[in-house]
Amino acid sequence: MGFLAEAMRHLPASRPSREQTLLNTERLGAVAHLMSSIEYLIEPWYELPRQATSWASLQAMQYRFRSPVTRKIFGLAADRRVITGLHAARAGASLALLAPTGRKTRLAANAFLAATDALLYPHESYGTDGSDQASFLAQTGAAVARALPNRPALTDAALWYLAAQSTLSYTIAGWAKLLGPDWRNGEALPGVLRTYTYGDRQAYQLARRFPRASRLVGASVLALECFFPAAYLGKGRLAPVFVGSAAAFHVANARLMGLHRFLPAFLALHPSLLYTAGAREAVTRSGETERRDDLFPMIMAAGGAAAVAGAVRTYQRRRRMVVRGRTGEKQFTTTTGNVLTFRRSGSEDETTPLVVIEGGLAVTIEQNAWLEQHLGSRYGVLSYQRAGYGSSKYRRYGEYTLDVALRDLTDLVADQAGNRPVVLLGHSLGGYLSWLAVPRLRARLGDRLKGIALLDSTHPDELNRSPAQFAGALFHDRHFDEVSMWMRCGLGFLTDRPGFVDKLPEEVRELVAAQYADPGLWTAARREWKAVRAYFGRPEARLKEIDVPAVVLTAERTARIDAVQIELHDEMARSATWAHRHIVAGTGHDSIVVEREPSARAAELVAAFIDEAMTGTGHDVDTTPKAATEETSPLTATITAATSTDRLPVRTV
Amino acid sequence: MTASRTPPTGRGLATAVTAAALAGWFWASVGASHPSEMFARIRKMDRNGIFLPNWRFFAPYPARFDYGLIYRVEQADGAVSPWRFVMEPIHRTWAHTVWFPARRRSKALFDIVAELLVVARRLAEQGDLNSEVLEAYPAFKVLRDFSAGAVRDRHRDESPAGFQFAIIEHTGYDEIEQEEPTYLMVSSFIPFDDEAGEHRVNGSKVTVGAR
Repeated sequence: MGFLAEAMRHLPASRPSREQTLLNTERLGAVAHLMSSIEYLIEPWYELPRQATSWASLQAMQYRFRSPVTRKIFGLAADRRVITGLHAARAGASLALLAPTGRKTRLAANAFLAATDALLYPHESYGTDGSDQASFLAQTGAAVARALPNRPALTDAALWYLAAQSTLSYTIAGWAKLLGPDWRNGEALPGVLRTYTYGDRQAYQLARRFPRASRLVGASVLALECFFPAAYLGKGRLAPVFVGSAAAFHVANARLMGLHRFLPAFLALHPSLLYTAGAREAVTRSGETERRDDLFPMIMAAGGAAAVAGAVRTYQRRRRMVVRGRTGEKQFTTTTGNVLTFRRSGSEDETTPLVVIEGGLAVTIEQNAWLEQHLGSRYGVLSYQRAGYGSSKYRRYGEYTLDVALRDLTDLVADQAGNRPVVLLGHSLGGYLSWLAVPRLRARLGDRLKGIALLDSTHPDELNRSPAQFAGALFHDRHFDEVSMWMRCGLGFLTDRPGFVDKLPEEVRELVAAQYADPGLWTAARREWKAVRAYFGRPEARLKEIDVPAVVLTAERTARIDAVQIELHDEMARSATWAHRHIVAGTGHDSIVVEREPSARAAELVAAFIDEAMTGTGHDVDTTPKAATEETSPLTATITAATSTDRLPVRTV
Repeated sequence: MTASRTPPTGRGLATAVTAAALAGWFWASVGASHPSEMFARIRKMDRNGIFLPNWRFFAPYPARFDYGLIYRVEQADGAVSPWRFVMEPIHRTWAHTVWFPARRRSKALFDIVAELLVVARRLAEQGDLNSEVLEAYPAFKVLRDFSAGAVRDRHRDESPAGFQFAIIEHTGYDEIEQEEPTYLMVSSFIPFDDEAGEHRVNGSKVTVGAR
């Protein structure tokens, strides 16, 4: 380190003048614009750009912009002749910036290029790339810098802004790459180079022939990008090294990857970086000492601090909301040490069954609020948050296994059921957990466990038998890791409010939105998913028969997407004492619980099952065993209405 | 030589307001840079698309495969040609560092294919994927008409009965791993109506080749 510091001291600490910096920025940006517009005008084969532009324009006019004024403004460029005319004018403006023109002309040219960039971008969105955004920033910054005469502080603010964007561009590109396994293991560079779109035959062959050198080049690119902010260390003495390396990087990209417009576009942001990283005071060629104004970095730092403070506050407010939960919640500490939050609703009549709702993965009980309402009108309902979800607390030390979840469930049900008959209702993963809990609950409740209702349930063999489920599992492996990490970093405020939230009952919407952006849900989901993945690989995960009846519902969309699910659910139905089996029309895996109508349809079928299970006489509809697939697999067997009586008995014993 | 100082830097309200606006823009760009689509709330605020830059080039998952738009032609006698690229791959030269007008076209093709595949995947997830829905989607029509233009150009003297196009995924220059490409989407046969100089799709006529 001492050597590095010593070496840095020997590097010259100088910087270009303000005016030269601004001129270089404008001219390099103008070169990028000139290349872009001339290529547009000369490109002989218009078929694809023209039709793509029409489609992009249509999207912009119909979907992107809501305000009629905005639509009108952008509608001006929704004509090919206008676009062609604008490109010709842009070429002229670029030439004006390359020529030694005065401030007003340069201001007008910069502003015109920036404004038409914004105007044309939605229409030409197919085929645009980062160079269009970089050159837009360069010209916008230059226009701001030239906006008022004799305002060097304003020019400096604009140059600082461009330098900040330049630094950000490399830094983001570097750190985002590190999240990708191909970049970490060195496969990314040869992988990109082998493509026709962004590669080069010879470079690819070299990368394959010299894999170590290829990995070294890849690692060097990553290092350059990730540590680009270090250009500001040592009073900017390293800035020329970083900028020079980045320029060489862009030359290589232009030749090997065909990213030729990136070269002038990103180089246009480099002068500002050299200017702001260098000494604050410098002697210009005319002998004047020029002092840079550093208001922008101060405001930027203050803004960053305010943004972080705002994010922390939002995080805390959301956390408080999640921990507070819904009114009417109670808590119960199980033998595992976990503190579960639960909610009782519906009938308190001791003779009516208590339906225990077991939610899916990454689902809180509020997402099952429709089911609570539909079933609560006829039965008692017990819904609870598994440990770590919502306001419940995961207190257990050591490895989490599904056994913990099952102990929590059986402890809670045994405590809350009193003398009432009990029916388990599980959605998705909750279905399989309910299935696993049956023997334990039979041991605790005896005959009072009347049955089990499965809503688009997980099956323990689904990852082996369904390619779609296996692909989904690979996605989840990564997804839960990443999302829980980002949520713990407090980035929940960057998530969109998910669409399903506003389909839930109004009283739970805000809470569910808060839970979705809170780390608790994702950390619990990640923990459970890892346990599920580990458990599914074991022999004991095999589906075992249960000695209670079941109603097995498959969401229609699930059945349509993945026919294997029908077989798996048929198998579950056959493994119960007797079963009702339905494919529920107009439902999807999530909508069967989070949407009013689909959940009502499911609840109606569950209620029909419960009523029959409560008679204790078993199923008397059809005593002839039938092949499940004959009855249930074709979609023609779909139940089409909540009131349908076309129940499909799978097996009777 | 005695150095003279420049005049006062001219800070004022306009400068402070502008600096604050630019700082806000910078932090919005930071917020829009998250690599995950789930954390795209700020990015989506830019309905134009140019104001909040996307600096995540080739990250976190680089494009290691090529999409190819290919077509084959059926002659009047029923003979079918081999598959051929609609847009032949363009191999790099040094001239491309300063002049490469076809780049925008190849990027546009890449973007449209990627969009169509995203739409197809979304439809498949919803269980609503079928050829009728997909063929009505504008990105599909763009690819169809682009392919039709290429077919007309190259087979003008042959009077083909029609053509079919497909999107493939392949490994480009990788001749070691190069296997049969993966066919991601194959269109139905699209007949030509030669006399009118048009092709007929789904019962309606769509004009092509008017360049």
